[in-house]
Amino acid sequence: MTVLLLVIPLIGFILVNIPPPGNLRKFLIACPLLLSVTQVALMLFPRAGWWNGFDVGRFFLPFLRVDGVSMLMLLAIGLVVFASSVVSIALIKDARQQYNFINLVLLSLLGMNGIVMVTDLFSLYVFLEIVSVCSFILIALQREREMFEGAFKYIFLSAIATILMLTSTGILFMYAGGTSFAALAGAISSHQANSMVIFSVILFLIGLFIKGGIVPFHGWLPDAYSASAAPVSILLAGIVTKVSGVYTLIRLVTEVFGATPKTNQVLLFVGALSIVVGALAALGQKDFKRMLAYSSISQVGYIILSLGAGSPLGVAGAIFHLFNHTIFKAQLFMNATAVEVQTGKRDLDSMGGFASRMPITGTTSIIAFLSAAGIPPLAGFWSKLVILIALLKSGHHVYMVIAVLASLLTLAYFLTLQRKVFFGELAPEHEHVKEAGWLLTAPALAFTIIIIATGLALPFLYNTIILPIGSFL
Amino acid sequence: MTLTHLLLFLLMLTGLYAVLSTSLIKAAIGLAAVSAILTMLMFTMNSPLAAVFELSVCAGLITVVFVSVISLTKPSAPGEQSDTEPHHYLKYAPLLVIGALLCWAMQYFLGDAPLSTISVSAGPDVRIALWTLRRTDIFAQLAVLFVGVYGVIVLFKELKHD
Repeated sequence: MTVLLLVIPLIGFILVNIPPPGNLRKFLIACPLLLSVTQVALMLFPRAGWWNGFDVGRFFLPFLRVDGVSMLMLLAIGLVVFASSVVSIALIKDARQQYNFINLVLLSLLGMNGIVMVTDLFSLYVFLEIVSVCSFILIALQREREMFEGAFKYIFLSAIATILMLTSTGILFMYAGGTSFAALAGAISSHQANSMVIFSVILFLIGLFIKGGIVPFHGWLPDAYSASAAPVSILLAGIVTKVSGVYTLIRLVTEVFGATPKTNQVLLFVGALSIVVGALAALGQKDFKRMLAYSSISQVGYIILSLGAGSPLGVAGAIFHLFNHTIFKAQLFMNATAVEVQTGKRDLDSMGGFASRMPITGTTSIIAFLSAAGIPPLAGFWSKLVILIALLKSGHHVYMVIAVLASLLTLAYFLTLQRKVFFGELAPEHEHVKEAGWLLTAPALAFTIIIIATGLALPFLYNTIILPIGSFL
Repeated sequence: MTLTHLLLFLLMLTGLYAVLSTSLIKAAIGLAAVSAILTMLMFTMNSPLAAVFELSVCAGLITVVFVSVISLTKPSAPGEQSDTEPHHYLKYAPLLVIGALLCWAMQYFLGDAPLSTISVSAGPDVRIALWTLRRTDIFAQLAVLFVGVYGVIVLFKELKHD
């Protein structure tokens, strides 16, 4: 099964680039859609179907493994790629740009699937590069000045991250004699006091902080998210940075570097800093997408904070919030896209009263922001509750208080956003505004259902999925 | 000064030339020189397999890709570059800081904890290394190659026709 998730996107890419006769080429637009739906089905029903017969992953491609955490991330990848592809059909009208987008999404899908399945540090780096290079090109895809600026900032910081991670891999390779997670974990635990090993772990962590857009390495993220085309920003904000920065950090800290007290202190501090700085910066934004970008930085801070708790419950909370954040942030970007497409504006001060004209977008946006702010019984509330309990049980009371107070900031900036965009009086120039087409509203509705269903089904999910995930520590 | 020290010094010099050069062609040539010197370093460190790959892929293939990309972009008009980017030496200032930091870090870390590395042998057979041990990387590098080529086509080739 594992090998198919890597080979099929590559075959898809090759097929898309072999010019078929006649009008057959326009059907290739469905290629990422079909693959993402298949991936979602595979992850929801892993034991059913014919694909179990193809379990040749370890023979064909070594260093691959799919566990509970990988499956949850593969599910999130499938969902966001699906949403982004549907939105691209509505928004990218130019045939050549649509074709370029499909190709890059296919390769990006391959890279992200590789990141979540691989168990070797060097292979992980190669898959990270696939995703990064795809992201640079996707951000600049429509070749506008603002897009090039966003892409350039991402390339610049990403190059620094690459240098740090490669240097770290080289140093660790000297000590372990290999780059598999198991060999590295053994070498790091037996050289815990060695300064070079500590130095290399710090280098890798900084590289991942840059990739995840975590404060103080977040400079590229607001520009990249807000400058890129709508389907690209959904993909970037929804899953790309989550997989390449945050998931990788969780996986390496728990499985390779080890959750030592020093590492936990760094994670707690950086997580709390991200939460507060991201939320305060979001409060001051006038641009819809930039506010969501800063909100993303803040929410990722919660994930890092939970990881820093250093307990299985903390890891479970981090992964649960990572999944929830992927869903509600992708949805909020879909809502921002719908508003921008229908009004041509992103400036919050020039909006207002759109809820009466765009009822589906307004309602789905409110549910997503309530989930982000941690209001019960939505999914975001439960993941934040797990994070707070993990911090409380591990004795980090100060950080728990910071997390609770920052939740009020989240509520404040999202309430500001809702009031400015959807509530209040409709300006006369917006009388013509109407609901976005079904290609924009249908994925948003589907994601809203996931948010509500995850929240309501928590008693079932907690014992069957969330706690077993945390136990892999 | 040993051969390794000399090669490391040349490596840094050519690297700086590649990064600080204002001409794209000169930067690409500088990068090729970096790869060539790195190849020599790898040979001196008993890693012929890595050296051959560095020479063929980085010094060869990548230079060809860079030169192809540069040929696809519009050349700037004579004198345009000097107008937009005046020569000032402040840009070299961070190098002193980086150099000092590196010296401090190497002295501190190497002095504090001597390396206890596992000795690296000449390495396994090429076929085993590529097709058995690192098969996943080969597969992923194929995808990286596709992305790189696709990026060149998307971002640079169309610019020429605009």
